[in-house]
Amino acid sequence: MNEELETRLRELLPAEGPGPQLRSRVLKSLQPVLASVEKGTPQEAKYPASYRLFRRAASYSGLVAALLLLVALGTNYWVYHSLDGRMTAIAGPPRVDQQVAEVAQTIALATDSRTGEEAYQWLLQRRSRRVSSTSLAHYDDVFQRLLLLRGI
Amino acid sequence: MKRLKAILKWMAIGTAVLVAIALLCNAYYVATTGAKLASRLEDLRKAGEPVQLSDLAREPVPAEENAAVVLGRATDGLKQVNREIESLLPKYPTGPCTLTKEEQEGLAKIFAANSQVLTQIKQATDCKVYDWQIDYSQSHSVVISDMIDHVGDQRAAVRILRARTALLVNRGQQEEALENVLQMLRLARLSNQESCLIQYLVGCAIRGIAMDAANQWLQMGSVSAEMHKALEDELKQHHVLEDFAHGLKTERAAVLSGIDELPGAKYWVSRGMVNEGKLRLLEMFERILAEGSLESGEKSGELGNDDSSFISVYVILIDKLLAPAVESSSVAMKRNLASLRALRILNAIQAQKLPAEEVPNLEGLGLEPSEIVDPFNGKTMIVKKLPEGWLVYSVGANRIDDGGNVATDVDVGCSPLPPPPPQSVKSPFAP
Repeated sequence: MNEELETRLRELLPAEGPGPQLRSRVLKSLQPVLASVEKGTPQEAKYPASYRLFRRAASYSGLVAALLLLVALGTNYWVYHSLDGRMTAIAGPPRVDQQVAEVAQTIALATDSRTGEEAYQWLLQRRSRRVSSTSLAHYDDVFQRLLLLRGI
Repeated sequence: MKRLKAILKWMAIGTAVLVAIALLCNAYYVATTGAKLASRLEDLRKAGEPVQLSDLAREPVPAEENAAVVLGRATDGLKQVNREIESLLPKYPTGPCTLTKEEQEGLAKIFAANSQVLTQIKQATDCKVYDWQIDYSQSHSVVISDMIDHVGDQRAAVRILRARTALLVNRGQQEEALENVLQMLRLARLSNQESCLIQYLVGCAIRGIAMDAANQWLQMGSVSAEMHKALEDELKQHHVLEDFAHGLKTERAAVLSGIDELPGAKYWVSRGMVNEGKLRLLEMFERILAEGSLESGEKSGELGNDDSSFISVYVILIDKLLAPAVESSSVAMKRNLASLRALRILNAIQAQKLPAEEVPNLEGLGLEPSEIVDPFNGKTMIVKKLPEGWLVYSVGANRIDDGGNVATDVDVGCSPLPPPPPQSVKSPFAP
């Protein structure tokens, strides 16, 4: 069915007209438009240059945002790190609660270093809730007795 | 679907940009406040002042030379004697205390039965150092808690000495009474060696009780020239302003460490606010230190006038909670200083044995010119001769001369004792 239609179409002769002169005239008038179309994609050609610039930047926006975030994090790290260094130079290293450290050391002896470290952090938190020195000394006493019982 | 994806993508980008901007602002805030704080702390360090709690630790001293250790050994005895005195005298002796014969006998029995405690108090007040030996590597709250635990011994010792002074003055044993007064004054002086405002105020309270007893002792008369000299020699060793500055500087170091223990202060996001809080703290202490040295009750400035565009929660805590407490300690210092000056003036006047009606020229008493100045208004202390004795006073915190109304604490100083009550009147300590 289709082949028959195509055969018939081929048999048709062009209507009489200006012929080759018209072709050259049409091509000549279209030349500037075609030249501009060759430079960009047909889609972009529809929009003004500023919008095209925005679209191009938008394609990098994710990357820019990620970079900005990284720069911000890096700046924060640098500021905190340098400030900590300056403060340590002024006030010395961070405070270590001697009593808590001693109790934690006793616990670490009975258990392991990780438990000792956890105990140190836990006791520090308890200390900030006003556990007095005497009660902490009591903890240490209890732990020492336990160690003796276990023969450590 | 494609549109939704685009919206989500732009929302994610927008959020990331906003977070990045917030982070950059935070970095700027932390950097600027941190630089200011570090600069101020460096200045304090260069001046040899403490900037953190652990700086308050002192060199160890032998136990026998440490009044705190000696008093600590007597804790149980001190409590016991206090309980016995409280059961005898429902109200503790203050001001012009007149004891009944029964009360005098009761007190004498208590002191005779507990002479060991009195000896221990004497040993403590003869020491040169007062050091609680607190472990300053602990947190701020624990250090303060430990300090409060230690205050009890001083309080008990001074109450015993005050009751004994009242007994001795009532019995006319002036020389022994003076020894008690001097012990109380020495204890106050020693107490001010310890750190922080708590201990400074305890020292002020002890000195206040001692000066009250000294006034009673002086107003009773029969004081020899040697006794006047002994009292003046002790009183001139009390440097209230320097002790106050020591209390403020050590308190500043303690609170600087204490701020780091406040809720949320350890999170990195609150670092800028913590820095700003510490800056406000330094500003407040500088202002109160300056006011303390002004000695005229004038304010050198108000908090809250800085160029900070952002007020952190830590700044609010300092302005609303800490500043009023520290400022009230400044008033306590001035009251103590005014009482001390009034007592020195009274002692000097009585030592000169002036004619009955003659009000002396204070500049001719042999005291330093600064020692006759009223710390509340910067003018000369007021002296009046009343029929009952000398009235020496400062105008007090209201800076108005209320006619020497020392009894109600409107004015501050030394007032004469009221005439003794008739024998039929009950003792003020009687239940």
